[in-house]
Amino acid sequence: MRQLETTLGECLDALLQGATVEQCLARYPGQADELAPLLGLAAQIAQTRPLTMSQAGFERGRSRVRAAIAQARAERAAAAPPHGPIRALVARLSPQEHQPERSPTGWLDAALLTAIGLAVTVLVIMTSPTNSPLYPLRSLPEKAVAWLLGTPGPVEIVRPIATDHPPTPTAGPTVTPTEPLSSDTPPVSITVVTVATATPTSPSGSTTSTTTGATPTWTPNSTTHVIPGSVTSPPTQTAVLTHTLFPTPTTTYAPSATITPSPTRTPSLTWTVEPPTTTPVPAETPVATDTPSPRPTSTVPPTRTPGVSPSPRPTSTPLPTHPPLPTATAARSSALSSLRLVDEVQLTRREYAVFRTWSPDGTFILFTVPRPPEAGDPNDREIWVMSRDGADQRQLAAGQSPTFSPDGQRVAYTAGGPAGRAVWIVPVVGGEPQRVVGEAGRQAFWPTGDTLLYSTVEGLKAVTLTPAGTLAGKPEVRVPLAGLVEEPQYVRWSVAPHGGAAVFGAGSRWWVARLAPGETPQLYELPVRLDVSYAWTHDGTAFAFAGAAESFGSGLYLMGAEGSGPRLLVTANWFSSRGVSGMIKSLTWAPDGSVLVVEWWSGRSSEDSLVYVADRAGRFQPLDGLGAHENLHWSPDGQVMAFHRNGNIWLAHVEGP
Amino acid sequence: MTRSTLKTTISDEDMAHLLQRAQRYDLSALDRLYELYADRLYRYVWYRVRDADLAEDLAAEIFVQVIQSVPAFRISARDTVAIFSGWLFRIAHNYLYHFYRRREREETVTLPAERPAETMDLTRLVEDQEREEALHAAIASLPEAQHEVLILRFWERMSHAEVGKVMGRSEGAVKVLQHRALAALRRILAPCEAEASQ
Repeated sequence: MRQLETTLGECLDALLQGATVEQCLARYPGQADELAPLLGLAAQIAQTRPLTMSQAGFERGRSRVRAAIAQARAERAAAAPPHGPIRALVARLSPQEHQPERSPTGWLDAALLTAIGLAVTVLVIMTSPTNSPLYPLRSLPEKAVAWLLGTPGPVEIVRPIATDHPPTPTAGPTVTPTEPLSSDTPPVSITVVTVATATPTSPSGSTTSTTTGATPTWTPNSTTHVIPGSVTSPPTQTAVLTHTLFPTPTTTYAPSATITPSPTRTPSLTWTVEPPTTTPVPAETPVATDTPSPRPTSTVPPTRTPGVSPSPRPTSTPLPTHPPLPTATAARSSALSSLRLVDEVQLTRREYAVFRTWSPDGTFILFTVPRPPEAGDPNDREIWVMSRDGADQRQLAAGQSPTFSPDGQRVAYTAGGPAGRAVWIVPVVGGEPQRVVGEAGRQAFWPTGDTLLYSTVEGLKAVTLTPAGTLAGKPEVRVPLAGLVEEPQYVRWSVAPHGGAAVFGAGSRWWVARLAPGETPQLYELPVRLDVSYAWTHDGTAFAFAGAAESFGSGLYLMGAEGSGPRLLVTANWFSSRGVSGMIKSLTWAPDGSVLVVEWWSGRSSEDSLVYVADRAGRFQPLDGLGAHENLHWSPDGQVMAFHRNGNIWLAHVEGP
Repeated sequence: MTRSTLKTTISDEDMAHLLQRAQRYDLSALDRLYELYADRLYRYVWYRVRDADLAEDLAAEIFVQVIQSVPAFRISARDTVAIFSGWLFRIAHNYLYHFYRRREREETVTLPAERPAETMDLTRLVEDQEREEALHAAIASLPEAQHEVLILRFWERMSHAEVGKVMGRSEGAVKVLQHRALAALRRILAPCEAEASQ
C-alpha cells in the first residue's frame, strides 16, 4: 500500500484545486478511513479566514518600511560614484567634509593624492580615443617619435585592439551617441558598430589610419582598425548587433520548412528609408534631463557563445548593415495634437476583466477573467470572447495567453494539466477545444495561419496544422535556445507580423532572430534589455519597447524589424518629471505605424496613468480625452481603442487623422 | 486608501512591472508590495510568536529585509507572483530562524508562545468566530515546522515543492510534516469536534 503521506499529499493538492473530500476518498478507498478526518480538517483550515494585522499595526509597519526605503535610496545615492575623477578629487580634498579627520600628516596624504592624480591624468590621456579632447595630448609623443624617425606628415593613429587572433569580425557592439544630446534633440541614437580586431601594425609596418566612412567596414587582409560612428556623426547611423548563432545540423532551419510566410501577408523585408528630415519644433518636447553626456565609445563585452556548436564557416564578410529607421515628418506632428478619445463605453461588467487581443479584423475581442482558485491550475483564467460592442460575451475555454489565428477563426492558448502545460485550439464560434501539443510555454500562430509556434525546453518549435486545427506534421525546432538562455520554455518572444523576425529573451539578455524562409535563423543579441511592454507595427517593420541599456538607462526604445538601430525615444525620467513615478505599461501602434500610444503607469490605479501619443521622432503629446485610461489597445482598423478602467474593459472612439 | 479596499491579488504581469520598479526603490511600488504582503507576513510570524504586537513588528522588520534584498531578486518570465512569494517567505523563514537563535543566546526574553498543549478546552466554542480563533490557536500550538507547513500550504497555496524551497526541506519531508501537522491538529481539536457533533 502506498504511504499515507504520499496519498494525503495528492489528495490535498486536489482539495486545494477544487475537489471535494468525497472525490478524494473515492479515489483511494483502501485508505479512506485514515484520510477522511485529515482531509476534513484540511478543508476546514482552507476555508478559515486567515489572520490579519490591526490597522494600527499595518500603518506602523508602513511607516517603518517607508523610512527604510528612504534610507536605502539615500545609501544608494551616496554609494554612487561622483560624476568624474575631478569631482571625486575635489570631494576628497574638501576641507568642510574632511576637516575633523585631518591629521598632522595631511601633507603626505595630499602629496600621495597629487601623485595619484598625475598618474590618473596620464593614464586618461594615454587611453583617450580619437574623438576625445585629450587626444592631441596623447598623440604628441607619438608625433615626436614619428618626426624623429622621419615619417612624413602628421599621422592620426587609431588605437588598435591588440590581439593575437587573426582578424575576424568578432562583434563587439559599441554604443555611441551619434547626435548632440540637447533638449532639442531628445532621442538618443544608439549606434552599434562592428569592431574588427586588428593587429597594431600592418605587416608592412605602416600605421593604421582612420576612416570617415559611415558604414562599418572590415577587410580580411587589412590592418585598418575602423570605428565608424565614433569619428563622424551621421544622424541615424546604425549597424549590426552582435553574434550570429549557427545551430547544429540537426536543428537547421530546413528549406522545406512549413513556415513560409505567404507573399500576400509578408511584405518585403527591405526598408523604405525616408531621408532624415529636419525636426520641427515639437508640441511638447521631452526634456532629456537624465540624458547621459556624450562619452567615448564603450565596448560592450562580447556575448557568450551559445551552447550549440558554432559553424566553422568563415565569417569574414561584413555583417549586414541596416538602414536607419524612418523619421517622422512634419505632417505627423499635427497628428499628435489632434488625436483624442471620445464616446467612451463600458464593454464588460465583471469583477476583473483583462483585455487580451483584437481579432485580426477588429470585430472581436478576447479577454480573460479570473477563475476560482479551486477550479484548476491557478495560473489559468477563463478565456472569453465578445463582439466589438461588448455583445455576445461567451466563455471559450480556460487557460493563458490566448491568441487569434490570422484568419480570426480560431483561438490558441495554453492550459495547465496533470502533464504540464499544453497548447489548445478552440474555434471562435465555440466548440470543443483540441489539444495540439504539450510541454509548451507560450504559443502563437505563424502569420500564414497553417503553423503554430511555441516555446519548449529546446527552443521555439513549429508544427504545421490542418485547416481544422489538428496536427499535420511533427514538431520541429525552429530556433534552438538550449544553452543560450536558462529555461527556454519560459522566454518571452514575439514574432513580427510579417514573420521575418522575432524578438525574444529573458531577464537581461534579448535577441532578434532573422527568420528568412529556407535559411538558418540568425540571432543578434540586443544591446538593450526589454521590460514588459513591447509592440510591433502592423507591417512588422518597427518594434517599440520599454527597455533599458547600461549606457542610457530606462525608457522607450524603437528599432527596426531585424534589430537595427535601437533608439531611445524618451527616458523614463521624463515621465517621472511629469509627476508620476512608474514605468511604461502599455504600447499600441496606430495601424499605419505613424504614431503610437504610450501609457506610463504608476502601479496604483488607472487614475495615476499618463497617456501620450508619440511619433517615431520622439515627439510626445498627451492623449486628449477623458482620464483614467489603462492598457490601451488600438483596433486594427484604427477607429477605436480598448482600454481598462476599474478592472473592466472599455472602448473609446479615436478622433483624429 | 483603507486596507479594506486594497487589492490583495495581482497578476503575474503586474507583479513583473511592480518588481522592476521596486528594484529601483520606487516608493509607490514598494508601498504596493507592502500592501500585498503585510498581512501574509504577519500571520506567518504570528503563529510562531502568538503575540500580535511582536508579530507586527517582526513582519515590518522582515519586509525591510525584503526591501534591502529586492534589487537582487531575479524577476522570472513566468509565475512571477508564486516565485516572488516563495522568495519572500524564504527570507521570512531565515529571519525567524536567526531571530530565535539570537534570543536563545541572549536568554533574557521569554518566548511569548506557549508550546504545544495536548488538548484545548473548546467545549464552549460554538460560534464560527470562536471556532476560527480556536483553530488559529491550535495551529499556533503546533511545533513551528508543522504550523509553518500548514500556513504555506493552505493559506499561501504553495505546492509541496515550493514549501520545500521556503523551509529548506525535501518535497518528501514536507509531505511527512504535513501529515504529522494535520494528525496533531486533529488530536488537539478532537474535543471541539466531539462537542460540535453532539
